[in-house]
Amino acid sequence: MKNLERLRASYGVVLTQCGLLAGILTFAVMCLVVANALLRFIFNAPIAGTLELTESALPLMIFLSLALTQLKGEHIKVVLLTQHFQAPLQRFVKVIAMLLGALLFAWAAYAGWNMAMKSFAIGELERGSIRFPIWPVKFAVFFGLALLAIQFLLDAIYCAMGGKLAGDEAGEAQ
Amino acid sequence: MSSLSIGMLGVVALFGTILLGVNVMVALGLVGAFGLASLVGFNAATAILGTVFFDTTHSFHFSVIPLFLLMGFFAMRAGLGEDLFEATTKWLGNLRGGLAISTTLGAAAFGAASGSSVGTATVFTKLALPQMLDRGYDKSLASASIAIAGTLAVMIPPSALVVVYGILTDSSIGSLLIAGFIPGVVFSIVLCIAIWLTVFRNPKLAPLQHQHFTLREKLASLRLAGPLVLVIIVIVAGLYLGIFTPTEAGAIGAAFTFFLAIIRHRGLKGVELKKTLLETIRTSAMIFAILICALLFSKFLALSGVANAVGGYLTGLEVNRWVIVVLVSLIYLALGMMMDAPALLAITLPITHPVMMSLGFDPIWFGIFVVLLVEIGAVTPPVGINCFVVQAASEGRVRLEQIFRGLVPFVLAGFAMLILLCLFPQIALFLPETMR
Repeated sequence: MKNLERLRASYGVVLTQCGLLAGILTFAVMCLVVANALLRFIFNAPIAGTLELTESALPLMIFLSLALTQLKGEHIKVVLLTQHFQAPLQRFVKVIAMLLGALLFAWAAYAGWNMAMKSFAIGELERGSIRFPIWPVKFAVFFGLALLAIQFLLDAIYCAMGGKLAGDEAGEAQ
Repeated sequence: MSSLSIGMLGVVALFGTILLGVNVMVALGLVGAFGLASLVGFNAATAILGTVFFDTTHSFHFSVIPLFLLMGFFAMRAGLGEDLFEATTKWLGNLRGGLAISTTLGAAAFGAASGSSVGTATVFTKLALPQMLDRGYDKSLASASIAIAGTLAVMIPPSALVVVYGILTDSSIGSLLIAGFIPGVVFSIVLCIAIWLTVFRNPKLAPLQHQHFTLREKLASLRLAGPLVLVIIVIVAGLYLGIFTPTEAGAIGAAFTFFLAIIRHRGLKGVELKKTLLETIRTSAMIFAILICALLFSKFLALSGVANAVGGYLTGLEVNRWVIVVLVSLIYLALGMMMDAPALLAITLPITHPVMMSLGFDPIWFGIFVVLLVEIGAVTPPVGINCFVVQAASEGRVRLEQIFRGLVPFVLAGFAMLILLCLFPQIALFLPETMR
């Protein structure tokens, strides 16, 4: 149990770093889009590639933070019914719920890997006023999905061993 | 098994898993993915799974969601709620029920910037509730007026929830954002009238107390509140006139509230940039995860033919289309008592949207109508999320039953607003139809 807690904590540190990267990207996109709008409006001189860079940044922003959101228990769930269950049954359905999450996102990560490899093989480019390879973004999507699948698996094991997941308290309050 | 029965089974499985506490995104995604696999085979389903995650997020227009959220979190950090409340009480506090009316209008403006119903309710509970109770306001009236005022946040642009509707239904995000403006303002006024009438019938609920403020004091209260209202107007006007796109509006709004936060804290330190950014990306991830999984589920439903079958059945019924509207409204009110707004939109729109379209309703109008419904659901028991938020933030000053009791006139006001929207769809459609 101790080892598992330690593993979850260090995994959490990795996820927070990914989240910070996503956060910095969000801030950078804000600056880029504002600069582009102002330059276009005032000097009629937009920044080339704003659209392409912004649209390629969004998958990074989302997929680098998916697993962190799960760690914090912030993905929406309904506890209206399960909160009335006895503790062992409650834990059982929670473990199943986490395993289902791991299953879905492991499948999605596998699909994402296929897609990224295909993109890499053909050297796919983001096309527009500027060009750059798009496959790194697709690998990031795979990476984020895999991180989330692992987080679900860790949560399932942790919960099965009697650990309390983040967001449980909030759920009970509702 | 026919496609249709697979589809029906999928809908049952969705509700079953959600009720058993499976994350809404996982339920949507699993049922969608396995449903697709049973209809078109594992390989085709995997291919769809691979593309939907990337394609949905690889979009300039959808970047508007994290930017609106960023704007909201900066607005909270900047403590703009305080300024707005101070300004509205100085200008309107002496009216009958003035503090509650000030709260409603302050929350409307703050909600516009924050886009968060729950966030707005929290902030105004802390600011306005103690003041109202000190002045002898009835606990039910005071707390309920805050709970309902929070809901104005998702209607008045910029609003991330409206964008969620736009993505799920493939409707114009710009038009939807603009469409929420007049209904949001009208609903604020309807709520103020409801407060005024409640207090008019029973003046004991809100004792009058005259406080005199000089014009200079009144103008000084607009220091930060004024610029915020101004930036909201700039955003709405800019979208309406086609000067910038919703994504640009989000970025400009976020940058502006960021500067207001820096001014408020006299530097970067108090803004807690790291924490704000992490909050923003976690909420964005939560919304997009639901969106993507909902799109997967919606592909499955469309392919199975369930969406068409339900639509065909309902349009085939020889009843007035408004009967269907009432039916749909009841479904939203019932489900709105169970889950948060983005999840609710995600699981219902794949069915309700095609039905409403086949009945000839306007997609933009329906968006505003649904958002209003979802928000009424957010204050009705047993899971009126805003009421819990107000109760939690009140630090024991009010009880949940008191809030629910006080909500009766405001829920009625909500219904009045729904009827207004049905009678005069132009309230929502005038701006988008005339925008450039």
